Amino acid sequence: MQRRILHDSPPDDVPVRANLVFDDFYTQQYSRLVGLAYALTGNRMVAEDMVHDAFTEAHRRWSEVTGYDYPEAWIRRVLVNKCHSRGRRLMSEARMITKVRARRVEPEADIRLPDRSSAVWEAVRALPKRQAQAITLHYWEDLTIAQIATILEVGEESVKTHLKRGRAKLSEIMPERGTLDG
Amino acid sequence: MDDFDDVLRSAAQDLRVETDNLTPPEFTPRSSSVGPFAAGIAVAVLAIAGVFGLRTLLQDGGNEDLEAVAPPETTITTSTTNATSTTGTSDGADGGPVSELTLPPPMPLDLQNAVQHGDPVALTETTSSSLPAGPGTEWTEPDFGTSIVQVTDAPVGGTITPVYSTSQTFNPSGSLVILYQQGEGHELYDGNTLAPLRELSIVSDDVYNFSWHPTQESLIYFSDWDGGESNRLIELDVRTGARRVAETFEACDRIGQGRGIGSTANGTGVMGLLCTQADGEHWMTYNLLTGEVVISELVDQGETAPTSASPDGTLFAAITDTAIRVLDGDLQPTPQDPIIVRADAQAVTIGGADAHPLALVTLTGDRESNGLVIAFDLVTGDRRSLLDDSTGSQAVGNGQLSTTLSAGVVAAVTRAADSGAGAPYQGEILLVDTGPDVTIYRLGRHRMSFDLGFGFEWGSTPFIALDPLGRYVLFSTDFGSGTAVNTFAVQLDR
Repeated sequence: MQRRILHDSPPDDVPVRANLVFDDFYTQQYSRLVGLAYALTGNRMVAEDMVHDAFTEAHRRWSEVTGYDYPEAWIRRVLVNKCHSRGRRLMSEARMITKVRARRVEPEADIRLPDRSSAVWEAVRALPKRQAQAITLHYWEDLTIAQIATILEVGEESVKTHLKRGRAKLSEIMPERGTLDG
Repeated sequence: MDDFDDVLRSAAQDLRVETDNLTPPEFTPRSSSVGPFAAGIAVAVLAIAGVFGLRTLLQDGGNEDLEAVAPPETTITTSTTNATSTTGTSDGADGGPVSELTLPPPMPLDLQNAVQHGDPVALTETTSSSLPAGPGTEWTEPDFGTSIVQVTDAPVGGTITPVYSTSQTFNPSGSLVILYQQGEGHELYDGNTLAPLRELSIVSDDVYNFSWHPTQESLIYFSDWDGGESNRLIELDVRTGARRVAETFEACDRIGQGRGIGSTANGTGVMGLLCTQADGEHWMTYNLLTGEVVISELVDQGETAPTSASPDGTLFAAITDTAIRVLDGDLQPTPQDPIIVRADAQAVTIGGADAHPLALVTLTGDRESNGLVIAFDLVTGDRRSLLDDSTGSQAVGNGQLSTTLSAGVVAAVTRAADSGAGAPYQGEILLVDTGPDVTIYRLGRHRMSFDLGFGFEWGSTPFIALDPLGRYVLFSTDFGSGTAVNTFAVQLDR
């Protein structure tokens, strides 16, 4: 099945909300999704744009989305896919705009992480796509292996492999970050 | 678990501190899909204005489960010696309940009564009393005398148009027609009666990018879009709604058609795609009849998908804003590659005689003595102006094109400068026989409002499609009403 996510049973800790209201869903999910998109793109403006795209898609097919057992998984799948494909294109365009117009993101408008964490997320983004997605969903969203497998439409063993390889790769490219004191 | 587990949790916590208190802005959904032309404009706007909100937004309106079935036996070859050759195999495919197609003969144009270039035409002001009366009714174009029938009945504020010329509105036999209702989706019509048949669920990387099967009348193909790009090609039987994964291109992370402005030639069995691999984008072709896949070496960023320019898949054109890349069946440059257009190309379609496929390009801006519509012979590289300033107007504006491959006939619309009486060749529906003696037929004025107050600019552009049997030219317009854009048919056999 190519669209297994739409019909899976929800994880035990996710209640089914047949009367889910879009505005509530938007408000509840917004900041978490921006964080997810930021982790995957490294740019707040692009992240917010990707999130807006994802919510627009949800809004347009809301009656269908509310029929899903797990709308939260659906929109995360939409978002991580957008971040991988269109996000990279937008990042390129954002750099072009910056170059052409010497455009500067106001400091208060950007997400400012400690250097250590900023470098970690940058390294995550440099991982192969699936590894980066699995790492981000696991650590940023605190999702279980099963939940990540549902979102990414891969097997649980595959998720475990992506996580293991991702962490190993991070340790290779950031050996000095191997401990919290590093 | 290794030490990096703690590092990642700490990094997540730092990010949480920064984002947990973000206030969601008021949500306003973006308007939906735009075509590749508009996407090109959006890129320019992005570069100039730094606006992030103008981009193609593609919807997954599909609500049918995808059934993964075995694709036809597939052979993947590469066009370079340094690329990896891959072969995938499977057993035969069941094409589903489809009808075999008999390709039509060359278009029987019999337009002796039509207005041709040079014929005097008195252009009159449009009045409400001189507009079509409604769906299904026939109407005589007051200035040109052609018979026009209203095909669709869009709601107030709605837009139903032929698909943009990157795809063929008619199937190769002319038995089926796909129109697009802005914000709603694609709709299937009977190509003979122009009666509506059913709504479709086409979820592609661009609503204007799908390809008809060359011999099975009801099958179309498009790259899957299920919340994001994928490497799957979907087959949809438009008569039954049955869909399946026709092919999964394991050699590609994702497939698509880029931001190409080129059309898909009618009657070809070879789709052109862009295949994104780890190192970047590659041209790719997929033969719907044989399952053969050809993947080129890495291409420059910004290249568009190759467009099949001959039914047998031996010639392709990859079209950018200013050049036409001409490629052979192995996706290698031909001696004519590249053909420099020398102006901003606004729309392109592939067609013309089989022996000399043409790339037909509409130009805008500073055309440097180029005409409005130029035909580039992809075999010889020759260029001919089909429509230019000598045809009577210095301000034709840009246009849309649609054509059929074997007949050598192109239908075009030009934009109007305003909604008044206008000037010759402004806001007109044209039919151009690209034969040795170029013949231009003027079929009527579309009277499209210059700037509709609903939808968006892309929806305010008249689209046009040419029936491969030569019975109709479809075009979209609001006829100046400003209330709804509908599809109309010029009846060529009247």
